[in-house]
Amino acid sequence: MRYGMVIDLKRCISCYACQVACKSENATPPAVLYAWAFREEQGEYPHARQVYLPMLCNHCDEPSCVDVCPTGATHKRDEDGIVVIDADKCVGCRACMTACPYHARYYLDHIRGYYPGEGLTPYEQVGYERHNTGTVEKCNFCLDRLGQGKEPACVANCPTVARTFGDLDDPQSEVSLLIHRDAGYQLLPELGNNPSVYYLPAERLPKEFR
Amino acid sequence: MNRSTLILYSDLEAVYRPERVWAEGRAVALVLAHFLSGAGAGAWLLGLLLDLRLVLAFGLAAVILGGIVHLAFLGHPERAWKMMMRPQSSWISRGLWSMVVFIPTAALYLAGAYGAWSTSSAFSIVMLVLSLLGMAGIFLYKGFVYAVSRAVPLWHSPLLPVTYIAIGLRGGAALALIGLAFVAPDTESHAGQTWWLAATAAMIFLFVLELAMGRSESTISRSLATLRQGSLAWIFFVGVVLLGIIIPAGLVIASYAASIGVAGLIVAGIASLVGDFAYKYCMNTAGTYVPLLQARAY
Repeated sequence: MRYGMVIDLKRCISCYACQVACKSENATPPAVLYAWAFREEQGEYPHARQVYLPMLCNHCDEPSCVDVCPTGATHKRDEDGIVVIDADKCVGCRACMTACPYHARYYLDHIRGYYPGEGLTPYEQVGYERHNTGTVEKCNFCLDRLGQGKEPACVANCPTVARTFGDLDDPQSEVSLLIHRDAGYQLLPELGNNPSVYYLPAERLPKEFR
Repeated sequence: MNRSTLILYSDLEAVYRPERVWAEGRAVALVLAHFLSGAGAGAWLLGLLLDLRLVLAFGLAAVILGGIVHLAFLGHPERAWKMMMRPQSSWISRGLWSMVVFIPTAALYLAGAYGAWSTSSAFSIVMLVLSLLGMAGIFLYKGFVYAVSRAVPLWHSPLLPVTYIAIGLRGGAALALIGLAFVAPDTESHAGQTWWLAATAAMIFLFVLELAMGRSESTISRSLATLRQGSLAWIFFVGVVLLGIIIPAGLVIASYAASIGVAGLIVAGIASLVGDFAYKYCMNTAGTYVPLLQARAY
């Protein structure tokens, strides 16, 4: 089994619900975003447009972050292909951050709250117990939720159903069918990481290319 | 909103996102550590070639200091031993193994060189061979630590490991010049100066070659533009070019014609070392990630 995600850019309205749901689920401190949206302005008037690209850890099949990790803290799970970090093994060398082309990793130097000078809120006090300073963090496809039979928080909370989660190894899974039918593509495939997050083009392809 | 959040939001919208984790804040310790260990390995080699015990001691001290400074960069220095767990894939692991082999064996060989036992004894020879293996690993690993990062095209170059070996040798030659200032300032051989010139020429040649190879790649061009005219320009031109090359080159070349004395050798050595540190800092800071959005119909 290889878990993966398909993000349909035709459906994405860049409402940041995925980002907020992820922050809520994982109680990440300020300046730590496991899920985020890249925004770029392209072209010039009258042909200008904004491009939104929801991002998260791509849980690559050939993860460069795993190869460079000197302690084995970052590893890919055999059972489902999810790339995870063992915080007890991480020394905070940040080699994985320089190796990741998708900017999916964050180094937690110290814990601070969302309200400077007012200490941590009760929510933050509880939520931050899951975080370890001096280590690197990232998305793990909401492993806790998967264990309960639920989808990742960003998938479950997307109001336009732009995100689909499933098994890329199963040719009949919804993610595999979407990739095949709508010409799903990976980001930066030339780097050889074979990411498990696919995007469906924002513009519908002409019939002959489908 | 605090500074780190503002930087993050600016990075999230940057097409060419700068590499920051090995360039800013405490990452200066990482640059310093790589610089010190490289120069230390170079000094060990040149100390042996020039038969200068003081330079051997400089080399060992620089590698030890580099290791200590490296710890200052880690989020959990108390777990540093765990970095030896993945030599099969991680160049950081290989580098740590190299240092672990080098430091005790070099110390024991040096003890022999200072008279604790004969350097021609079997024990000393074994220590020498092991220290040379560790030294080779230290020379190699730093360049590869950066070169394996496909996400940062400036670093992902087959020339980078070779360049870092040349810089290590240059650092060693600079430490040899300082060592010569203390033990033989008026020596006629000029071997230290010749090594410095050779390593400097190699560094310049490799850098120019890298420029030529990378100029057609948009991300590398972006990185080089920050060196040439961006925020790093003054560090590059003052630190690397003036202090690191022009001033020591002038002194070293002059030393072939007439003695430049103790002060001249020390100034040349220190200026060269400052230039090497500035070069490594510039290369780390100029790193830019490959853009997420390539030319594609979205």
